Parts: sequence; structure tokens; C-alpha cells
Amino acid sequence: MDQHKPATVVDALAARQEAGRNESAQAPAGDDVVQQAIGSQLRAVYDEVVRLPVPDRFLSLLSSLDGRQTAPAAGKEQES
Amino acid sequence: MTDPERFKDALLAELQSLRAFAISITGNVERADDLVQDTVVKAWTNMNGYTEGTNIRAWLFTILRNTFYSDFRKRSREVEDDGAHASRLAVHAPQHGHMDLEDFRRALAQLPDDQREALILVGASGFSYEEAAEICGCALGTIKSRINRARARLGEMLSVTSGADFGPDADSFAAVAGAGAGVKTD
Repeated sequence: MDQHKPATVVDALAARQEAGRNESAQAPAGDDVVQQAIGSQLRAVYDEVVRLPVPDRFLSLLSSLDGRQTAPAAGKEQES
Repeated sequence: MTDPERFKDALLAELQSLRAFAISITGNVERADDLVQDTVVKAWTNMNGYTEGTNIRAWLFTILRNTFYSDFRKRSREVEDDGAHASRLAVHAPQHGHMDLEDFRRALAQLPDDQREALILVGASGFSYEEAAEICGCALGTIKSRINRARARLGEMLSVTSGADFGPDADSFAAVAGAGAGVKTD
């Protein structure tokens, strides 16, 4: 099997298929490659969401919580 | 006794993670933001329930998840049926997502909720199996089996995808799939 790391799960699966064809036997190592690809794509997809900018409403919410230990009953629609 | 200033800094530092988790379980940015807001207020009110030195992200995720399943889900069910839930993380894909992740996003959206949640907690948010079990209020073995099933299912779905010929039509297929698998639209 060649050394390059598959970029996607689909690539990994294709590589596994290729390997299967060449060796005529199943390549058990291929499953690891697929699972690694799943892991890295999962992180990539999720990181896109994590990196979204946090809306200002949360910053104002946090500063409105200053010094208060009791919950403001309905602070929902206080967009200035 | 929790120091309010330090606690607030910690909340601030976790906002992005909270929001990402909220988006992943509500499948809707607006609802996710309402959920994060409720979570922040609850966390602030109960800050003395947090034990300093323990994982604050896990503590916050637990509050967020409980809030979602106790009152939030009921509320949003009244507003619309589950059709909108199906897109999940696919919500963001069209604007700025990478196209090479599109197949994956679509497959992820089709996992059962509990499997996707477990996979995201451990595989993407960096929680241990134990922490994920605590956040979800279930047994360690349950988390492990959900993750195993999720991985196996993703592998299957994506191998089907790689078998199909994805040509120029991939985009329109993504749009259709984004609406949910087998969900009736009306």
C-alpha cells in the first residue's frame, strides 16, 4: 500500500478497494485507515462549526450577569 | 464557593464549544442560540454547583443537554415537526463549508441522534468515554456501543457513496439529502 494519507473517507475506501483488488485478499489494515479518515473528517466538519463567530448577544448577556447571582427571569429579547 | 469573575471568564471561553454542541443537537442555529442562552443563565445561577478544578466544559455540556431534553425539545416540537432536524451540521455547509466534506456531512446527518451525539462528544469535542457517559447520563458501555455503531454506519454509508458515481450532480443531491432521509416534506 502506498504511503499517502487519504484525504477523505471516500478516498480511504477507494484505497482499500484498490488494495483488495491487488492482493485478492481483504486488507484488514484498510479498516483502520477508514476509521482514521472518519475521525479526521468528523473533526474538520465539527471545527467549522466551533469556529463560527459568537454573536454579540452572548457578550452582552455575560456582562449583564455581572455581579448578579440570581437569574434575570426573562432576559431574552433585550437586543439594544 | 465559586469566584464569579473566574466563572464568567470560563463561560466566555466555552461559548464557541457550547454553541457548536447546541447546533449539533438542535440542527438549527436560532434554536441553538436560545439553548446556549438558557444554558449560560442556568450555569450562572447554579455556579456553586460547579466544583472548581473539574472539567467545566463537561459540566456546561451536561446543563445544555439536559435543558434541551427537558424543556427545549418539547417547545420546539410544538413549533415544527422533526423534518428540520435532519440537516444538523449540514446547516452550515452551503455557505462556507468545504465541498470535500459534503459526503461526510450528509452521512453524519443521517445517523441516529444518540449515535451522532456520542460520536461528536468523543471524536470531535475531546471528551473521554467516561465524560461522555456522564454528560449523556448513560452507562459507559452504552456510549462505546453508540460510537462503534456510528463509525460502522458512517463507513457503510460512505462506501455506498464512493461506489455511486458522483458527478456534477453532487450539489443537487446534497441539497436533497440535506432535507433529510425519508422525511416527508409538505
